[in-house]
Amino acid sequence: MSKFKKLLQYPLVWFFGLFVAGFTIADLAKPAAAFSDFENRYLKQLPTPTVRTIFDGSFAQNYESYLNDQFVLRNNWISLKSRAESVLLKVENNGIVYGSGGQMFEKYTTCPTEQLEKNLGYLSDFLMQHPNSTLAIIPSAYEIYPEKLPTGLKMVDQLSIISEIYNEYSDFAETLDLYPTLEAAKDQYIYYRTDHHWTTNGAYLAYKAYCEAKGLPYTDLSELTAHEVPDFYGTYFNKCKNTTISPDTLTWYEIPMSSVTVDGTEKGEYLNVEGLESRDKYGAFLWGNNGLTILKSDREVSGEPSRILIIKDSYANCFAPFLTLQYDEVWVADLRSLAKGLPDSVKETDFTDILILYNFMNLASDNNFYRLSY
Amino acid sequence: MVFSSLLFLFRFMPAAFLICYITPKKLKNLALLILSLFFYAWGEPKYIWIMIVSILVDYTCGQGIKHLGGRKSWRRVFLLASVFINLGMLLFFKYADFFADNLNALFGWSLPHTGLTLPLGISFYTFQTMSYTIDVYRGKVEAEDNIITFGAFVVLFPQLIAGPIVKYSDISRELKERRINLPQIQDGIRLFIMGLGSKVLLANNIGALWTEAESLGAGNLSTAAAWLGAIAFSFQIYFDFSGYSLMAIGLGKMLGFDFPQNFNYPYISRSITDFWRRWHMTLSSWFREYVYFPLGGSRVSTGRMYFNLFVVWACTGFWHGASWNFLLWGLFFFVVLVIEKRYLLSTLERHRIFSHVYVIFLLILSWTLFAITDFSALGAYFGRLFSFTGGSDWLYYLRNYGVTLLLCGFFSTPVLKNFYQKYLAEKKWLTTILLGVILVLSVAYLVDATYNPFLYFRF
Repeated sequence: MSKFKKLLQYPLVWFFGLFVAGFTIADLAKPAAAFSDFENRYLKQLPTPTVRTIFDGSFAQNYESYLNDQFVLRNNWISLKSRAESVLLKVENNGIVYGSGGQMFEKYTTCPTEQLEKNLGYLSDFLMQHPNSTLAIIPSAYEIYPEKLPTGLKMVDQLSIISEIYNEYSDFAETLDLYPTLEAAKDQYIYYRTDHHWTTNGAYLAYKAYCEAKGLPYTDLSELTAHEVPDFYGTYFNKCKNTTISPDTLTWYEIPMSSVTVDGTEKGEYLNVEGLESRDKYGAFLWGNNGLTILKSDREVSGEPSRILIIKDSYANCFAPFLTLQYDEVWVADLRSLAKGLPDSVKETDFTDILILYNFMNLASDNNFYRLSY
Repeated sequence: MVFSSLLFLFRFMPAAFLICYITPKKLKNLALLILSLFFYAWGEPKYIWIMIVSILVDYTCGQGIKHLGGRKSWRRVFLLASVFINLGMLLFFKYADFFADNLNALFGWSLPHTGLTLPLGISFYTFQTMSYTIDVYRGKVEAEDNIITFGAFVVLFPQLIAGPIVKYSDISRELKERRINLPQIQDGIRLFIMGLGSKVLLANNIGALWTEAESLGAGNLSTAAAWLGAIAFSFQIYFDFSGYSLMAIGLGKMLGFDFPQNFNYPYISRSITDFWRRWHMTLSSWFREYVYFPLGGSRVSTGRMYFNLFVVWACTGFWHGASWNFLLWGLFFFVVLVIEKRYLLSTLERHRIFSHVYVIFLLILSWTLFAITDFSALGAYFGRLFSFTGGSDWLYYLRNYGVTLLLCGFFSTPVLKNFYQKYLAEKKWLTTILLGVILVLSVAYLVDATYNPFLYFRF
């Protein structure tokens, strides 16, 4: 008893001892999780030490990342840090900037110029070889809503780089400037607040603009049946964990198709309805980012079907389905998931039109454009 | 391994303390030696032999001086052997590539790079072990006969990688006979948590502002933003470095060691002379004792004294990194210190506000010189600091980091310390709660660590 009383005189000693020992034991006892729903990513697993990995230091490094990823109550610690950052009156956390009206942005202050130049090189080669192509670069949300950015924050001027690119390409390729369309509709809900993508309505406006540019008829949105999925927390939220911001609502439209093949597997629908239940709701469109997806419209086709090839990033996932209203077949290729480049089936098929659709940031940073050559 | 990591807090530290506390007295130093070697080898096992060589060399030299010390020539041989081997390792690992680059540029040679990473903490432990042999040579301490005890001194994990620079004479008594009691452990925990908070909550947070300014480059900053960036780095290096020292001192206390103080509110200095009595105190006293005094110190002709100062500050600068800007940084202090000594000190003494403004202004410039190793980037940054360029970017930085800047300013002064000593020291429960909050927040920032640099990889 006297020893216990003595210990009570040193509350810091036992608090620190219990805190460190408690979390150490709890952490050791906790089984490793494979996936974090909260962060929407796979977590590091315990690395196996080998003589080589111990001596080159990679085991130590991997073990530390494993420890961080699997640390007990990780989600709570992350939320606590996010809250502490807000207490410090910071308007950003983990590279996500809090704009006004609950709109979030990715902090994008430097453009990876070298990679962009490289990508534009591959792109211009492709455009020259395929004169039936159109290039459309989607500006990020902050270019449409600059007034929502915190005062003084200077971000990369995407619009002027895009118009520079379009000018340079004007001699040999079709380009589609999406800015006027999106800017004119800025009062509508065209970009998510907690996610980096445009909303389905934003994508629809781009579809309409594309059809108009091509001289094609387009379907009015009111002719399609809409479904709303509330409580969508997107990629920005996954990074910053600011729980004071309200979630987005995701909308999808019923578009009848006769067939949807994703990397050779028939899926029936363009939308993964089960995926809407998960955290990564945007991933439901086209079943996520897959190599080659072929959408076929349910119209009767007589003669050679009209086909469009879309080479794209994930922004096109909610955009491509609309094009089945105009084309008999919509082929969607994502270079990031095509390790061997564009498949032979693409190279051997005749396309009426080709659309290259990228968000500016992905266009500037993606290092898979070398796969474009064919 | 570094202290500010989950690995240290929730794996190494509990295991190490458990082992140290339950090991019988006789074996405690052996336990410390093995634990410290593990601590050092974690992540970079290939360099463990440097530690072993360090221990063996200085142990042998110490013993040599002790047993063959009757003859002056032998004493010299052992002393020089220790100095050559220690400095040789330091020169090889830290400066070889730098010299190769400069010789190549000067003579058009093509000397190859060693391609080696700098062994963690080499600048600290080579100085620590050298001090042992020199002190034995001078008869200031007795040579250690037990190689385990000596080995424990060389690799003692709390002070191994980022200071304070602990001389053998500082802890020779504790190495043989140390008592661990609850008040001391409590004190150690308090210092450790304060140090952890300094590093993780203050230094990392404000450091993000500097990193942003530096990566954008001077050309993309307004003058006001450039100043904010330089101020941010000044805070970052202070809280990072002093925080690390504080963690080391705290861990030492928990193990029964009393390490020397390393920082004493340097930013409230009223002269640069005063600043260097408060900043990295163990380094300046090392240079004073082992370089400045042996050169004759100030008991020589005025010209010679300035030469001695020049040597000391060139070495101090160069010690911080193998790059010209560090040398310039050291010489900047040489010039300022000489000017203060000759003309300024009495003026600074009389004008309180002026002296603070003067010191802070010079320190911000010196840290800018310290932070940017590339000369053209450095020139551009200074250009931006002193030629006015407008812009509104600073508004964002001020809004985002304003509170952090205020906190850093507050914790740079002894206000909290005085308050603690006056009102809080006796309120153990309240102190525990406050420190508990700092600890919990620090862990949260470590779990969600997007930015947790180790600044001394160049030291």
